[in-house]
Amino acid sequence: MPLTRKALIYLGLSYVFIGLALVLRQPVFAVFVLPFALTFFYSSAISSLQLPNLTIQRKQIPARSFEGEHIKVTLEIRNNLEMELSDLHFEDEISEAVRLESGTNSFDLTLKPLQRTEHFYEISTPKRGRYPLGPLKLTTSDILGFRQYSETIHAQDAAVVLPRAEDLGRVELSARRVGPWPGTVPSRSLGPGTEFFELRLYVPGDELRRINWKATAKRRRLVTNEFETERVTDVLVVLDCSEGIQSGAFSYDAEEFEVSLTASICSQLLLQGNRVGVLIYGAERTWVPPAFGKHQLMRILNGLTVAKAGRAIIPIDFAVQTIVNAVLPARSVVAFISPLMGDEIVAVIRNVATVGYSVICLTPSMEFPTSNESRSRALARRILAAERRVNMRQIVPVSRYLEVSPYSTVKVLSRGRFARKLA
Amino acid sequence: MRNVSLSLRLLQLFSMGWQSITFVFMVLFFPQRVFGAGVALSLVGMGLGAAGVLRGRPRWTYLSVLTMWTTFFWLIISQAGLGSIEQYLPLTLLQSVMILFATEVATESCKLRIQVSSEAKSISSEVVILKPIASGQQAFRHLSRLGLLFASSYVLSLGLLLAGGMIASAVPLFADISLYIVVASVSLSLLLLLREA
Repeated sequence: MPLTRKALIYLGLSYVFIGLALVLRQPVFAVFVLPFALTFFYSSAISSLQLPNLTIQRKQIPARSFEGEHIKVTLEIRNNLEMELSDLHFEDEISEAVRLESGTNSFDLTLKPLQRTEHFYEISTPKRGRYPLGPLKLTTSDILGFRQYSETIHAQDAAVVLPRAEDLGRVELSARRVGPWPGTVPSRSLGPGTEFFELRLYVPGDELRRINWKATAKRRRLVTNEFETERVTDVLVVLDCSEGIQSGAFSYDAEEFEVSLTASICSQLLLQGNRVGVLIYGAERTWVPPAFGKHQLMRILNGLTVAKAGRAIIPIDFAVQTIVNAVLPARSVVAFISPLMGDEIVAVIRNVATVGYSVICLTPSMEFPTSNESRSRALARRILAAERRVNMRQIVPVSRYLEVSPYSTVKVLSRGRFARKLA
Repeated sequence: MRNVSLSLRLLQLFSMGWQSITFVFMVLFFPQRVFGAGVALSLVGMGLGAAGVLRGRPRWTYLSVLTMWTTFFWLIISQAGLGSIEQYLPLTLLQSVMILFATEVATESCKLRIQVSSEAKSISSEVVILKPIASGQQAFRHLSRLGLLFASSYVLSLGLLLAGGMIASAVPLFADISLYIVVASVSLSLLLLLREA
């Protein structure tokens, strides 16, 4: 076990006294070495350093948290020895990005024989992601602090912070292919539903509540309403976090906004009963195959925690085509959430639409800051905005698109709003 | 929280008091010629010690300890110059042990101060409040053990000194300086070797 700096200083002081005794020819100076020698003796003989045998468990409450929530980290420490362990110093390493809200991740403990104790601290994170927790470092020393023993005694965990899904209201989709289950997507077929389709003459067996009394009075014959059946569909949401999002063209954190938008849309689409999958494209690439339900939402949110903007190794058209062909039935819906920068994304959208998928595209709006910006920067921003407008025009014939701003109200995806934008 | 503050304040007071006593005890034995310089050095040391302990700044505490050892070396060298070192040897030995203990007290006080301030934010949780209290009690227990250890080491050193004097008067060969040095060096090295084993 290594000597501490304190031990080395004391040893140095002892030799200073010996040196003084030699230089000044005064034997009494050597007497001052005695207290040091005795403390060294106590350190090695009396307070023998007991290597700890501990069982440690780290727990997080909640196990998965959302942006803005505090995470309570509990360290459960148990002394497995039948003797007291004193002066144990623990330090649970946390990422620099994590903020300590209460308690401390560095603490001292003395554990009685077989004692079990818990230590708490609370953290918060700036945004979604995976934040490493640990390893837990234990340092203990003898009573005089001459010998030190350090050990990493607990492996790393991670605090998983999921992006928050906001309530967007009902998302209106139009798909060429619908599933057999009732949902919210118009199916272009008659049957039970909420959207009025046409009027027809009453036939015996029709429900009385479907009789259109106004039309009946006008025609003097019983007339009933026909409705369009609403079904569910399959949707693949493509989150484009490629380099364009980092171009500096946006006056806000467009990457986080895109991730939040993806989470919100997926949440709403799943709530409406659709089968939803996600493809995340950027510096970190991952995908979640389409499925239904709350568990699928958790899988998607989990996938979104690792989304990171940056250059990807494989081209976006290859990634999208491969996943779309592999997991999505023909004529389903592909929703792109993209900054629409660069030619590749436009080519991908056109290709997907050409093979028969219904495409919708949501793009973060580019708002110009009112602050004093340098002329060159403002010019660069205008050029990027112009290029993006060209891209938008290119996708208009094949897809519905909507510019979404983080400053606008969240319920933006109604059919009317889409229609206005498209007009 | 009151208990936490109380134990910290007590420890800070004790640390400052002990440092002051150590400085005063050293200054009292300074020769007349350098008495003023000794007082000035002690005042600087006391100021640094008080600031280090109250503000929980380990660096200032180290500086204060360094001042103590400087004062002590100055004292023993000036006493050696006047030829009075052997006369005051038991007291000088006591001063060196007092400095060692003052270092430990100041270090404990700084550690507790840092711990209490880092946990001050978590006052809302009763469970967490208990930790600084436990640390305060632990610090006092640790210091009492160290106090006993240093006291016993002083008594033992004094005993060895007396025994050495008696042996030296009986066998003049043992009064040789080189023997002291060899014994001290060998004992230190042996202790270190024992510890590493």
